[in-house]
Formats: sequence, structure tokens, C-alpha cells
Amino acid sequence: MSTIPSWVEEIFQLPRPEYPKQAEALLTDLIWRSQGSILSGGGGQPSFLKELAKLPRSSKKLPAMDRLIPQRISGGNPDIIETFPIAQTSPITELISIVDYTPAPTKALLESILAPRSRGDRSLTCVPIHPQAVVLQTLHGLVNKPEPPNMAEAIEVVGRLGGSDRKGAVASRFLQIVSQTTRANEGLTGLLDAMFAHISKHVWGTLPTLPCAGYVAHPFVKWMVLLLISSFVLQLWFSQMKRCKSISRIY
Amino acid sequence: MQVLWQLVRGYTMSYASNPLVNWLLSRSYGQGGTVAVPSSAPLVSTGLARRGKFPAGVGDVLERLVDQYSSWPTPADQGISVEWCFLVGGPGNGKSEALKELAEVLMIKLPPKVKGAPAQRVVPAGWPSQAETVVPGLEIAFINDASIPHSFPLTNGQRGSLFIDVREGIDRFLKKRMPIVLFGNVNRGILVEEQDALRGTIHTTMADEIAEQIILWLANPPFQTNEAQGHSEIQTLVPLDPLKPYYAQFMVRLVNRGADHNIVVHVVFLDVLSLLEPTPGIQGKAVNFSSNPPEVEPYDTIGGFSSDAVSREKTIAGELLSSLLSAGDWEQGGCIDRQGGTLCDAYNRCPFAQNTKWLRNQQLQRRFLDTLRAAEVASARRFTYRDLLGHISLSILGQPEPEWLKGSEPCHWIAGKVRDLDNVNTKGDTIVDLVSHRIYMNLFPTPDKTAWKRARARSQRRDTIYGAAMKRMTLTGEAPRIQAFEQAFNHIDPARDVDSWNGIRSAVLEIAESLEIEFPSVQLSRGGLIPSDALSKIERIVDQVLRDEVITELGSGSIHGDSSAPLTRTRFLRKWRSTLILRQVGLALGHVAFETVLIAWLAEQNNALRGGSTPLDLGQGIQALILPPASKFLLAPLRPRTYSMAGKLPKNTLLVEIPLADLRVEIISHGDTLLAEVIRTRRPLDTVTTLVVDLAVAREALLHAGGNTYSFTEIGNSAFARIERARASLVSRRRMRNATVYFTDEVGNRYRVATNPAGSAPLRVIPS
Repeated sequence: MSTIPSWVEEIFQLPRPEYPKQAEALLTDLIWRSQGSILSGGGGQPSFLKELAKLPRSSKKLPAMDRLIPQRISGGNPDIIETFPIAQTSPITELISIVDYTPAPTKALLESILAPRSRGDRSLTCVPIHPQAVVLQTLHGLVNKPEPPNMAEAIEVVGRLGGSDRKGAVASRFLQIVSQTTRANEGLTGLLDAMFAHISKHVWGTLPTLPCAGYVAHPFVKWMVLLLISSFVLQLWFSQMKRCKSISRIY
Repeated sequence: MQVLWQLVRGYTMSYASNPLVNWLLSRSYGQGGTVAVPSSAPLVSTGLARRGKFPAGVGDVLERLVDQYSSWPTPADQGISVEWCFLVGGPGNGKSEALKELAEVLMIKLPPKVKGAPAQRVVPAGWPSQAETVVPGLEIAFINDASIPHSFPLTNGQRGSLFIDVREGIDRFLKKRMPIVLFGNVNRGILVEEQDALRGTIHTTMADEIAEQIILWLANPPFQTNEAQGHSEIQTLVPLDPLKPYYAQFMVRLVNRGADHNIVVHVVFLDVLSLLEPTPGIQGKAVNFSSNPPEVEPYDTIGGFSSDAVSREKTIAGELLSSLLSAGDWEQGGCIDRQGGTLCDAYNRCPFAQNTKWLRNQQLQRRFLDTLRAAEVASARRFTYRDLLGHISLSILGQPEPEWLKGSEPCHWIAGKVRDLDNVNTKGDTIVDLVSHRIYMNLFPTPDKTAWKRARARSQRRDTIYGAAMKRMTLTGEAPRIQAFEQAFNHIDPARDVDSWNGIRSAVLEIAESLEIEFPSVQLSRGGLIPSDALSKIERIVDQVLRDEVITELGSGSIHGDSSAPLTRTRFLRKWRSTLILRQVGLALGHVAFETVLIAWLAEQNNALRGGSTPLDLGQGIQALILPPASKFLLAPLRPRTYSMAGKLPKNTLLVEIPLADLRVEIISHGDTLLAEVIRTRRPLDTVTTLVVDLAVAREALLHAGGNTYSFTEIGNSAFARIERARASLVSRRRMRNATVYFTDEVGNRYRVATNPAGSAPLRVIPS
């Protein structure tokens, strides 16, 4: 058998075909790892996912911190990081005034984005209807593997074959569409934009401080926390896509 | 002695080989007989003599072109327009035949057809440096197939071949060379590719710029007329109209750019109307060029299945079918043995001849054409000429047997089978082969091969109906026809229907069950349930052999200890006969599955085409499907399914309120495609979403029209997703900027998220 790659392999540089069951994993990985998303790093910035994986855990036996899932269900791995419990404690008082024991809409929002459960799943996934919601899950967590196939790469290659002008264009286009600036009181759109910004900031900031993470007295992590919070919250929307002047025309 | 008698009888019988059967075989799916190429082959061998009418507009435009070219003045007056034509549509719509007809009338010799050689993109082959002379002072180039790229290396790499053809044509005008006519056959996909290839390119010449405008116009024909503005040389004279979307026209203004002539471009879209509905206009005159701009007749349909008042006989498809059924081609010609001058001895038992007899009966022909129309609706696509011929061939001949494709003539195969009927040992096998080529078995594929396989039991005897029928019903292989139509005929198979057919269905099943008492074929014949032309000797023989086999099975018990096997085989045989008879009666009477929905679809389409202000049942059902009947309603926009929330609300859910006052659903027909559009009635007016209404959506809508809010579980591959998408468009990011937001807590209490009139937080939560 010839070991010389054929033209087909050169054009179709698709990662090995091992795909997750949950459809939501595709969009999640696209935002985490596509070159069209600031989270993938580049331009002197680290990859957010890799930096997350570098965070120490309280025990070396535990899987890396990059395995995030919204919610575990019966039979799931207890060592994977659940983000919904963190997200539900997000402080939103500067966004929503709550009086007279009325509840905050945080839980309703999170429960609403839960995806249909796949057969045999060990965790619940959520639909990343908003880019900031990707902080709630990673492909690594959903498939519970250290190095799952790069779905973002696969999607971008397919996009390239379909006529996109560069790698990262698929994620970029998606983010252009959803990256609209709204005010919090602009209906559901404004509420989602505002609440997901609060939630992602809170989850991102909390992750390194969890008891299962090795946060305590770890100088690297203190630095990481500051870097990541500022980078994630501030830069996601000021990425290359965000700066695109055609956003308002597209939407 | 008996064997000897059979031999003698077989030898003395006369059989004919009908040339029309061979012609039909060459037109069956996958045989390539309908693939037309620009060649000067004689009419008879190409089957041109049997060609039906062109789709709406084509014939009128061809006439117009011939008139214009024949009156071309010498020398040409400055300012006179040269008329071009583009025929747009998929393969098999008759574009190449139209080109051949024009060339023939203009007495331009096309190159001879070379077997095995690829078709030529442009005639003449030397284009763009050469062109054919139409009349002195006017030349023409035929772009036969724009999907074949130019063989010469393309300059600038990225541009499409059609762009180059158009540019070369325009360049001739701008450089005041001999004016040229372009007649182009263009596939829609090619236009999309050509459009993509032009994206981002910078043109250096005026011809390039104008060619790009022409390509863009063809790819996206406008729905409104316009004046040539500023830099645009294109002026739309006849815009596309959803009620008559088969013809449009534009002018390319070149005189202002220094040329001697402008160009008027006729564009005919060949695949937007059904060939099973009347051609627009009186006597097929769809585009009237006596006025300027020309008048285009609107598409109008029958609006249902055939009745005493209306039928599809005079449609393009109906006339094409009739042209293949004349007695002169069958019992008075093709089926006459040339040597003896007698009718083929196989005639009564020949499924081809009996199928033709079926189709020649007016009532049966009407039902057959209705069934084809039903298949169009069920497949959400229209028959092209190639599909029509493929289905007519399939209906008369059935799926080609392997022997036919190896060179054996179908008529010889039939003769051999009819001889085998006299042999007791092969009678069962043979009659199944023959009945499997009856029209009602040809049209509908085996509904569920695995179910038939499951019903299988071991057979001890050879040459039985059981073995042959099992083989036919479980035969797996590549279906020769387009999968969409294969599925559509499976959907509308009368044997799969559960409707009562006004009590006929149960009567038919009883007839099938009483096989041992009286042959079903006799009962059908005596009862006058279906026209006698739908019955043949083939069914009589089937019943005879089948009854003998059932009696043998039931009396045999089991030799090998499996006592249930004979019973299983008997059950199988009865099921097989029921399938046959249900299809036979269903096709003969026009009772296809989902008949009510199909008729509702056709009626709704007719209502939309005629500008009916009030939607009919189907339209009302679609309205209820997308927009619940209430002044306002709640949706859970982030849930996997966007359905209206009524009664007890789900816990921990985000909800939005949709006011219905500014929304309405309109049913429109774009040519033969039925669409439901959700329109925002407040300013700014816009179309919120569009949903193509196909069989699956129509079924769901009719269910909702009856006030039922449930759904079918087997709604179709993508129908549910499309309905869901239509509903979800109500909660788009843009629309939701003005929405009132609610949410429920853990016990289902509802709260509203409102603007906070005081304090630093912009929002507040209040109980609702």
C-alpha cells in the first residue's frame, strides 16, 4: 500500500471520523477551537482550552480541567467538572433587581437550553445558542476523552471545500451573526446577551477555585485567573469577528 | 403425447415483435434513449416523430425567433434589436430538442451524432472564432449544454464557460462586427456556479461587465421591471411572476455604448410548471408576442383529480401518452405478425398489449394521469419529459428484465413466457413473471421488502407461484427510476392505503379472500367494479393457478414436521393476491393513498393561482400549524421544539409572548410549487418565513385544520424540521428584541422580566 498521500487526502484533511453523539458538540467545539474564534488563541494569545487543561487538579489521578459538562446524570464520571451548579450561583443583581422573594431567571434559562438527551449518555449537554454559553461545556467533557477529534477543524475544512475563503470562516460567520450588541432591556435578545455574559464570567472565574482544582496557594493559577477572566470576557467580543464592520448589515 | 402437442402448438403459433416496444425500452430509465444531443440524426431513429409539445413558452419563443431572423434586413437598420434566447432547466426538459428544432427550421446543419463521443458544448465547434450563418448579416451560436466546460484553457482561470460565451457575444456588438445570436441551454446549477465564479472578480472590459450582469440576471431573475440605471445596461422588460414564472425578458442596451444593436433576451424556465396540468393560454399559446412587451398567460391548474368536466388528457403529458397508444402501433400494426398478417398469439396474455389497452380506455387513462400528478405532489418535484417517458415506458413494459438489456427483445421474452404457460411444470413461475409486468405492478414498488421476507416459509416444491412471487416481492436491487419518484409511488400505493374508498376497499379485500369460492378476476368482471379494459386473461390464469396452489398447500400438511409452513405460504399467497387486486382496483378507480390530502393540495394550489382571498382547508390548517388560533400565545423559544404553550406551563422554562395581530399566513403558488408565507402585516412589512407545502406538511396541516393539535409520528424525512423552522422564525433574534419575556419557577409559577423603572439594575422580575 502506497504511503504517499493522494490528492484526496491533501484536500480532505479531515480528522479521523469519530464523532460525538450529541449534535451540540459540533458547535461547542467550533467555538472553542476554530481559528475563527478568539478562544483558539493565536496572535500571541494562548488557546483558552489548552490553558484550561493546564490548570492543576487536587489529585493527579483526576482528569484535566478541560473536561466540562453542564450536568452529570446517573452513571456519569464524578470527576468531570459540572458547570450548571456553578452557573446557577452567578450573581445577577447588577442586571436584574429581584424583590419580594421572586426568583431569578437563571435556572429557567439554564434548564431551557438543555439539549435532548441522547441514548446511553452519561451527561446532559446544552445547546450553545449563545457564544458565551460554550463555557458550560467542552467536547473533551462531553465525550470524556483527553484528546477528542478536532471537530472544529473538520467543520472548517468542510466549509473551505464549500467555498469559504479561509480556515476559521465558518466560526467567524456564525459569530458575526450572533455577536450583536444589545441592551439588557431589549426583549429576549437583550436578556440572553446580558445573562450569558454574567454567567460565563462567573463560571470562568470560578473554575480554578473549585475544591477539585489545585487553586489553593498556586501562584500560576492566580495569574491565570486574572488573565482568563479578562481575556474571555473582554476579548471574545472584541475578536476579529467582532471588529468586522459588516455585522449590522448581515443581521 | 401432450408434450408433443405443446411443441407442435408452440411451433405453429405466430408471434410479432412490436418496434414500439423496443422504442419504449430505449426510453426506460437508465437506457439513454431520451438523451438528446445536437446532431443531425434522422427523425425516426431519434424518436423525434413521437415528441410531445414543448413546455409552456418554448414553442412561442422559437416561432418568434424564426420570425425575427427571417425578416432580418440587409443591411441591418441601426438600432434594431437582436433577439437571444436562454432555456433554463434541469436535464430531460426538452432543451436540446428545442435547439434541434430551431436549427432545423433555420436550415443549419448540426454535426452528425458519433456514437460514444461526448456531446458538443457549442455549435459550431469553432466558436467563438466561428459561428453559423442564419441569414446574410446575422450569425448564431448554439450553446447546447452549458454544463460542458469549454475545452480551451479559460483565461483568468476563475470565470465560467458561459460567461465567456456571453462576453464573446457582447464583444462582437461592441466592436461592430457581425451581430450574433446566442441560443443557450442552461442548467440552473451552472448559473449558480457561474455566479460564484464571478464573485470578487474585477473586470477590465465593458464586455466583461455586461456579461456579468447577464449571468447575474439569469441566476436571480427579478420580480419587477426596471429601467436601465446608471452603469447598468440591463433593463428587465418582462419580470418573473409567481403566477407565470416560465417566461421573462430583458434588454441589453448596447447602442448607448457604441454598438449598432441592442439585444433582447428571451428566458424560458422549463421546469416550473407541471406537464400534467393544462399549458397556459388558449391552445397552448402561452406567450403572445403581438403586444410589446409580450403578454404572458398565467398558469392555471385543474385543481384536483379528473372528473366528467375536466381531465388531464389534453395536457402535454396526456397528449404524449395518447400518441403512444394508437391502435396502429399495437393490435392493428405493431402486434400483427408480418409474415402471417395475424394478431400476435400472445396478445391476450401479453402484459404490454394489455397495459396499452388499459391506458387507451378514457376513464382508466384519466385515473392513470391523476396518479402521475399525485406522484408529483408526493415527491415535491415535477416530471421532466425524460421522467414522463420513463414512467410511460415503465407503465407499459415494467422494469426491464435482465435478458432485455442483453439484447433479447421484450416481445421474444413474452412469446417464450406464453409458450411456457402451456407447460404445467412452469406455469406458476411464468404467470407471476407476466402479472409482474401489469401496469399496476409496474408503477408501485414493493412497499416493504423486509416484511415480505419475514412472511417467508420454506417451500418444498419448485415452480410454484409462491416461490416466484416471493422472489419478485423481495428482489433487492437498485431502483432504476429517480429515488424521489420511487418513494412517491411507494407513498401513494393503493395497497398501502387505509381509507375505505367509500366501502370499495373492504369489498375488494373480500373478493381477494374468496379466491377458492370464485376467482377474484371473475368477481371483478361480473360486478362491473372496474372497467373491463382493466381486466385481462393474465389475472384469470393467476387466479386459476393460485387457487390450485392454495388448495394443495392447505391439503398437504407438513412433510418435515413444520406444520405451520403451508399455512404461512398460504397467508403469503393471499397477501400477495390482495396487494395485486388492491393496486389494480385502486389504479383503475383513482384511489391512491392520501387521496384526500392530495386533492386538498391541488385545490389549494388552484385557489392560490386564481387569487382566492380565503385559504381553503389546507391553507387554514397551515395557518393553525404555524400560528395557533389565539390572539397571542406563549412559545418556549429555547426548547428543542417550538410549540405553543397552553394549559399548565412547564417548570423552569423561559417563555416569550407572540402577538398574532401583526402576523398572517398566505398560501402562494410559485409556478407549481406551493408555499406558505408568514407575513408581518405591520410596517415594516416583511416575510417572516416561508414553508414549502409538500405531502408531509399537507398531511400535518389537514390534521390541524380539523382542530387536532397532535402530529403524525411518521411525518417524513425533513417535514417536521421545516415546520419547526417556520415556527422558530417567529422567535428569531431580531424579532425577539421586542418580545415580552416570561419564565416559570420550579413549581410552574409564571414571572415576567420587565424594565426596571428605578435603581441601577436595568431589569426586574415581577409575578405574572
